[in-house]
Amino acid sequence: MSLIRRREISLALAAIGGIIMISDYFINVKAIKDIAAMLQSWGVILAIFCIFLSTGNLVIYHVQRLSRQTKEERGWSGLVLLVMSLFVGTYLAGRQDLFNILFNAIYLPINQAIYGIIGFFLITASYRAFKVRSLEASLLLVSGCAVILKNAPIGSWLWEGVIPIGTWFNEVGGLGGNRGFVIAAALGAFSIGIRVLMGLQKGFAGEAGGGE
Amino acid sequence: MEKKNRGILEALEYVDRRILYSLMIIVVAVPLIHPLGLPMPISSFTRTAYNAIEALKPGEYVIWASDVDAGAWAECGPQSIAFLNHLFRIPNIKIIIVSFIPAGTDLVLLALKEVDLHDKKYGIDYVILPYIAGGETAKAIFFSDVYKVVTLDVYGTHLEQMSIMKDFKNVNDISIYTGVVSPMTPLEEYIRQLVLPYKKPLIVGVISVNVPTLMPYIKSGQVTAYLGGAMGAAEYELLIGRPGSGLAQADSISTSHLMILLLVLMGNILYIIKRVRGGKK
Repeated sequence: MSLIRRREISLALAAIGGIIMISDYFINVKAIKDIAAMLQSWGVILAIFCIFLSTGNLVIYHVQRLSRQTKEERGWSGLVLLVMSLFVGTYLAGRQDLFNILFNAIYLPINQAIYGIIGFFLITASYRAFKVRSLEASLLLVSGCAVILKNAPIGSWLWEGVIPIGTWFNEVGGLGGNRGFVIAAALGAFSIGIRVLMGLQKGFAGEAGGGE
Repeated sequence: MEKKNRGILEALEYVDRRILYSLMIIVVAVPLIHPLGLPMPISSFTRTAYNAIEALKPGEYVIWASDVDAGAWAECGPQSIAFLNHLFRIPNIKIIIVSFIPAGTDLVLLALKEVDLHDKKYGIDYVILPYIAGGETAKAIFFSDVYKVVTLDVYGTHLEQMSIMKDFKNVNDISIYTGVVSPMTPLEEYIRQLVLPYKKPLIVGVISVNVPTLMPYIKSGQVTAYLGGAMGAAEYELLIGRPGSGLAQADSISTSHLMILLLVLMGNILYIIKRVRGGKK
């Protein structure tokens, strides 16, 4: 394997970068701070290149998919919209009005419609799945109903007591669960960070399974 | 008779989902056409957000972040308009608008069309920065030195040429960091890169399903205040005295929530009747 493709290089770079960034947080030395700032700037530059990379990747993926499909199956809309947006956004960069049409008339309504469809699933789910099958399900049902009523003006209009009850579920019950989740996620991120620094986490370097 | 009852129960339990969807459309649409005008309590968090912005003094800087994608715009749009209407009416404050999400800049331009700018002048009292790529890393650099990640505004003008940027170098110069944050931007990025190192108050608008994940940071004081979904926007519109699309949605939220509750109740009554009669479900 060529030197540039060796996995050890990626692992070493990640570990060195990680050590510098952690040192920047704990040690007040100008040289380390300068290197950390430079690495952060590189991160932003890489992110911009990633946008180009992902666009290219999307084009290649769609072209390959279209070449595999039969004439009847072929759907060009995704690729056409991508090329059109790129053309309007870059070559016609001065024509903000054209880009606004694409954004306001296509991108915005489609995104909002997809998000809005969730409401319809919620309706059928609430009718068919939200049942008092067990003690746990009953508790979920009671807390869910209290929070639903608390979040709508009609809740307090029907019964003012729903506000403190719903608030309690939100700020005590929900808070406890979320704190557990946040702390568990932080510990997980910490352990992944340690594994990256030690070269044990290999998933990002292209190894199947992610590590030992 | 028993057979007939069982038939009705079956029909109700397996009601066509298109009927439910049609009902949903009706209960959402009718209050938008004929508002019910139900009284609305204002939450303490919305009031805290309002008071913090109201207390801004002339000459102080505020960053307003449009970290939201189009999917969340139905809830975050009214929040953005309400927030910006409030900010723009406070005299002589400086507003720097930024986005770390690609669609954020276009969405804030859309929101500004519905905002009363009062006497604020572009480049003197407010500026719109373009989308800054790089997620958390970009935020870290932006907060430490704005010019390291952005040198032009959204219209391509050099920031050094604008008088608003004369006294602004980094986030230490601001009084409040506020904006709307969609699920695409983890709030933890702001906690790690802004609140902990710079100790700046953070006031955000989030979609309503994100409120529970926000609570740990509210209780720890790391997030000063929040607006939750369209209801938060409606409450804020009431506080600033400018009714908008948030208040228009409030009645729809009431009727749709009530319908969900009624359906849950009906589903459970059917379930209990079937169990009492010895059905499988």
